[in-house]
Amino acid sequence: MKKIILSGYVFIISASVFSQVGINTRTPYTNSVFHIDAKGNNTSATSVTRAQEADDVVIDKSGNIGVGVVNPTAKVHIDSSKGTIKPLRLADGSQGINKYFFSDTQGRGTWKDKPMPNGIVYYSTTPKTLTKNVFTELPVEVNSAGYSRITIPRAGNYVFTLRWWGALDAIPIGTKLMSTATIQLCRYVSSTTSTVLDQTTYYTSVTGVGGSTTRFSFTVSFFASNLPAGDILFLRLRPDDGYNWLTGASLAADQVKQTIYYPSIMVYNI
Amino acid sequence: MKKYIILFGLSLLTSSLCKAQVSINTSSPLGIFYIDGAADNTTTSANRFKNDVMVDVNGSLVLGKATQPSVGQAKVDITSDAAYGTLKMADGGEGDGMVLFGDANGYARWGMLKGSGGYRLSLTAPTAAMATGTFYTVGFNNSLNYIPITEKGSYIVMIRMAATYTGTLGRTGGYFYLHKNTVNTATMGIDSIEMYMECLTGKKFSTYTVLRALDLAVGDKIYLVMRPQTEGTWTLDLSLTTVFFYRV
Repeated sequence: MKKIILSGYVFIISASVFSQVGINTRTPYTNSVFHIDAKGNNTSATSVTRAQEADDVVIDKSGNIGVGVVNPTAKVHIDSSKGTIKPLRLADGSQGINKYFFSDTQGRGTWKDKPMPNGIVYYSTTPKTLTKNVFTELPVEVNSAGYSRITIPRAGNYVFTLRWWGALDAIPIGTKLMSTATIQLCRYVSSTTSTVLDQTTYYTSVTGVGGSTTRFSFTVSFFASNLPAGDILFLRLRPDDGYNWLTGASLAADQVKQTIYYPSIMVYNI
Repeated sequence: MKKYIILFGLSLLTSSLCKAQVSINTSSPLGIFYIDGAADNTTTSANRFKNDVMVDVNGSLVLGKATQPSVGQAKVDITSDAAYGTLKMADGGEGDGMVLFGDANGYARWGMLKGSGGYRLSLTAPTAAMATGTFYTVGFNNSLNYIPITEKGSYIVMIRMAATYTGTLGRTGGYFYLHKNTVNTATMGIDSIEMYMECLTGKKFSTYTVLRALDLAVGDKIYLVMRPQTEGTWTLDLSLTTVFFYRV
């Protein structure tokens, strides 16, 4: 067989015509463009046994990479079935026992714990005035283990369902309007900084009954993906309808500490 | 005609006598094939081996080791300093929280595991006013007018919607349907609900509801259809209309 020894520069030139590069082999596989036979045990360019290809790395004419296989059928095709070496090891510091490989938005992966469904409802019993045109954070002091905000227990994607219960302040009797608020799901960064993860503006029909007893309720959800464990979140609400919004208003003494008369927030991973 | 080429790096002639060892950018190769990506293995940089790629004596592909590897720990052995740094796989199913699944032949894909994923879709259609009694299949920002199912399972479709109402009654109602694979408006689909909302003409109203799609198969398509009814027309505020989709 003809043997050609070339430098890298010449190789690039020679690649302008179809050529195969074989390393450690005199018989680069016929369908490959680049073929490394680590153990140098291949004997034919057209017929490769399972044992022979187990130590081979190829790039084929479609640009597919085969590791342990000379006929890759995926962009990266690994075959470790012949031998004791495991197929794939991905070590980025996050690896651990029983972890799952998770994607980000771009398809890059990392290891995380198996998702465990979890959920909690956060309540409040603190009367508040949510001043019109201003964002006010919704309190979650009940069920949040001493925290004033929502702490994410495990990494994952979460839904936050706000169950609003409150009143419009000082809306005249008989006045019907579309009560409006912009509600934001925020990540707490510092006392002066937060990041909005999801938001909407919600419209609800309300008819005034006077005073602070024009009560109304609605339910709406928010979504945040790829939250790390320990992330601190909160919901904030800005009345956009020209009225102050009230929670815990006009309650009887025995009602003030009942969580049903306040907004609550259900948090669960999906 | 086949060519047998021994490829030498730019600076070296280190091919050993018994084994063909090929290297690029380095004169001290290991394994069978060795690339020093940044040509920095002779420096004292702590990161000098992290840009190296090797095929070792077992035919394993080894990338990014912090110390110079002599042999890999798996057929493909990738090390990175940072999460999401080892492997990127784009098959259309990628997304925050998607998990790597395999099939009977070992092919991998990104899929949705219960509790692991779910995503948010924005609506892109209908943009015009929706007439009373007319069915509208919504369009999503995934460039489709359906939600593709990549994992067998049961799913929730959560709808958060705002629209401008034009009418005389001050109250509107409308249907929300999920259809599987084909939209057949003669049926109620696989789940449906009629919602009534108090509203004012020329003003926006919101609604929020949840539909379910049980026992779906890989390849199924889920269509969301809306129909304003009794009465008035709706013009969706697409920026305030969102669908959450997740597995249960």
